[in-house]
Amino acid sequence: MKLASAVLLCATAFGQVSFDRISNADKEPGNWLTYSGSYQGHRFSPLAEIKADNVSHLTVKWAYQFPDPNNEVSPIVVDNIMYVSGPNSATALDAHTGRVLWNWKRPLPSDYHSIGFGHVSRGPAVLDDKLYVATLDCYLVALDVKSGIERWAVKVADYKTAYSMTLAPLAINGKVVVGVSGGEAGIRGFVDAYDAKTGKRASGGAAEQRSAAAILRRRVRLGGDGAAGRARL
Amino acid sequence: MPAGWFLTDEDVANLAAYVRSFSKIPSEPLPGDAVRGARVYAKGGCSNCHIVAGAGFGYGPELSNIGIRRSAPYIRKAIVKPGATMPEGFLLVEAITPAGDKIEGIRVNEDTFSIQIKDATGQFHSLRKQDLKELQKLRGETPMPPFEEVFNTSELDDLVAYLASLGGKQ
Repeated sequence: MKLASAVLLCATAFGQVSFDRISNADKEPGNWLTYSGSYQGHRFSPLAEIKADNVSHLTVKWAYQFPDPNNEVSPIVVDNIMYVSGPNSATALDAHTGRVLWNWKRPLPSDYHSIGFGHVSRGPAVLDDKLYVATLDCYLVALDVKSGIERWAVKVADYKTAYSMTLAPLAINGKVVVGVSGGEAGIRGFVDAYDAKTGKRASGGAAEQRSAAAILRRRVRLGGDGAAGRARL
Repeated sequence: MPAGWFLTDEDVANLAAYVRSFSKIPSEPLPGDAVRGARVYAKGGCSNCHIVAGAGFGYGPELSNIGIRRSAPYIRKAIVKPGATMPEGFLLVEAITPAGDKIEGIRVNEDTFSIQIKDATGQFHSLRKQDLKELQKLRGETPMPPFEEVFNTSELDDLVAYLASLGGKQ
């Protein structure tokens, strides 16, 4: 795909990103539909325009100034629209010009703190007509891809007990999978899944697993350090 | 007190809502019924262009917290004569592409060389100005039709009461 010569052509298709499209992401090398490029997770692009012998000649086409200096985002690119996320924020950009199409931001609570990791977002996920963002204060938020308006937001865990999320959610068939950060502060990690359309928690058991009291009870029950309990996670 | 020239309309509305929140005086009762107004909202097809609490289509402004951003009289005016209450920066544009296709929609962004338009289906179009046959800025025009003759007085009261009750997430 000739990215350089495809600058600013009209009528960007604005199709939905089905699970089927993501499953066959290798057939759409001009897009980047999920965090690692495909579900295989190779993070490899077959695009061949940029090569070892011309990479030194790259020039700036456009620049977008992130509102927050902390960034570790892997952009998602769908049909000429680039989606990026920052700490508690997301933005849709025109991939040809870098112009902003919409912005979304969720205020970070003033009493939010993290230990051992920066206030970043690794990236968003897309599925059908929604963009999914995991926030530092532990909400999974679904945004309308066309407007950036919030469709739903669910609390994954309580940031006040040191849970946090910096990961890029993984959108699969009808579900969005997330995990938490905060091990440096002593949290018990877990992975959870949510219904992509409604935000209803789909996986079972995590609520109990993440409860400190439940972990303690389990350790007492096991009569040791809870290794078996950890193995269950 | 210096003038707040640096505040946008939305900033002013938000600030006014915040200052109003200091008061213990209950807001003036509205003649309509918010529950019936929700049905009017659905019947009128408002969700074809607006999102409330995550439901609807996001072509027009989100209305999830319109009740704290706008007064009831303003909401009524926006329904009856939308052209008289255009949001700041709102601009309807019409572009004719090199192939002769007409693209009409809301200007999302623009610089010297390009313009980005969102059409009524929610599709974004990124256009290079020098390639366009024509680019018209339809100032003062809005895709929202006036609902003055669509709703009767009672329905309008109910719809205003419903929208004025929308406070978003508190």
